[in-house]
Amino acid sequence: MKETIKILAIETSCDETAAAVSDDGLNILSNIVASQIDWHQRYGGVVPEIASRKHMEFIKPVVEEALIKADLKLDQLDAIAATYGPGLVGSLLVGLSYAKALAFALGKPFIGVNHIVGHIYANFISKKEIKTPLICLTVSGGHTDLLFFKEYGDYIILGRTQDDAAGEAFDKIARYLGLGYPGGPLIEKKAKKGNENAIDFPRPFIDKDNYNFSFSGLKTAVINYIHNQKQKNIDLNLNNIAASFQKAVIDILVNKTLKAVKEHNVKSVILAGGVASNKRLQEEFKKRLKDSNTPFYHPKLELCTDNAAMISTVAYYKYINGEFSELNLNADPNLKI
Amino acid sequence: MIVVTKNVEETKILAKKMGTIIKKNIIFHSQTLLLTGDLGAGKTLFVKGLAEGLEIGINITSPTFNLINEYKANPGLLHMDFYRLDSVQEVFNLGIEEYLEKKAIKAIEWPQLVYKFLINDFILIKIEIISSTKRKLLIKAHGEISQKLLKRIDTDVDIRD
Repeated sequence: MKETIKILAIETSCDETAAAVSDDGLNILSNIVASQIDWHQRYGGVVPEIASRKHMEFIKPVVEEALIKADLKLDQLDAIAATYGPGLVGSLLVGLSYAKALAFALGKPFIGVNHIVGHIYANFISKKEIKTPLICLTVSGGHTDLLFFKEYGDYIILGRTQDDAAGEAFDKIARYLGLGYPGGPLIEKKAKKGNENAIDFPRPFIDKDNYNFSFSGLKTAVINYIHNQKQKNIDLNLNNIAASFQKAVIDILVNKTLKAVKEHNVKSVILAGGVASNKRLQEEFKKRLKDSNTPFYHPKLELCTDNAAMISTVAYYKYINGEFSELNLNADPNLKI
Repeated sequence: MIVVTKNVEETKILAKKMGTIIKKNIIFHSQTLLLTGDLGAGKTLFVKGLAEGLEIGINITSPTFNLINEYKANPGLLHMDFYRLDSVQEVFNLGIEEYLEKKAIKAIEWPQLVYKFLINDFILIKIEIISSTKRKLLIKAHGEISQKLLKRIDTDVDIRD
């Protein structure tokens, strides 16, 4: 029987303590996430101190659970992987240190993985038929990156946000409207009941001849609108504000991505990162890509958010290329692709 | 010092001038700047202009998610943002004291939780929203070096109410 490569990966870059085991990269044997969302809902945002403390509490049971589900013992693993950036440094350090110590104790290779690259590879797990070259849009609380992905391990950044990330705009507007945290799903819920053409918010950068994004101006425009309505004593229609704001974000994201599709000869388009779980965004992509006949993919809901399975998949491709990391690899909160 | 800027460009020019003055004078190379103002006031935009003056060479993005973005140059820039934090303890746990001691320009948004850790010398920039594009900037200096810096800015800047 052919021997397969089994990799345990740990991911603690922000909210979630996660561990997973993959078999030859795309076959996920276990994928455990200890969601910390309850804690954060109480505090209205990601609280790093809480995050790192909870990571420390969860990491051991989460890793053990991942091994039990995969029905493997530590010595049956081929390598240990962990996210080393970008993210919150205190949170990153918990998973990274745990993984490095484990690799050292077991005498197995250690592989450090970029969280953002993980989000891209999350797509290959759920849809094995995805063809390259492709365009990938990664949208989350910290990132808005448009990538041209030639093949496994070979990709270039076409553009990224010049100010706020798309997910950050969702979070800030949600908080401003008093909706709570996390902002994405809450705005989406309100938007469903609203008219997305009610308010004509600006779409910064949309016609600029590059692939960069900007959401800061849109955020300010929404805030100005709310100010003006309040001054005129007009009741705010939160549903319409949410819907119109969401539509502006979606238009920017979709237009830039379609421009990249047109200018690069690609076989598929994929959507990655936490904001990829937005149903309205998925729907708009499907609609607008219909004519060009380019297949569109987005990861399953549990793979949109932070998880360790995607880290494990990236680590597999690094493993077969012999790209191991040193045990002195440090957490890099600003790590770029 | 009070400056009213008519639009985004004017705010950025003011910040850039401040950055240029800081860059040219080694005594300002550990300067701390605190930026307050509502969501959408233009705090990150101000730091973008500042970074241009400091010749950081790359585009500055919002530090809200990462909390602290570090840009290497001479002097370097530490761009911090504590919007998401709720307690002084959390700021302390980030190692704020070590960051504040670094020889780099410290630009801090939502600094309310940082006051406790500040040593006497800093500039406070309060950005008020007057209209959708107009902003009023109140700039105050605390400490000898900051006062020197503010004086230089005051003689250099011609956008004034």
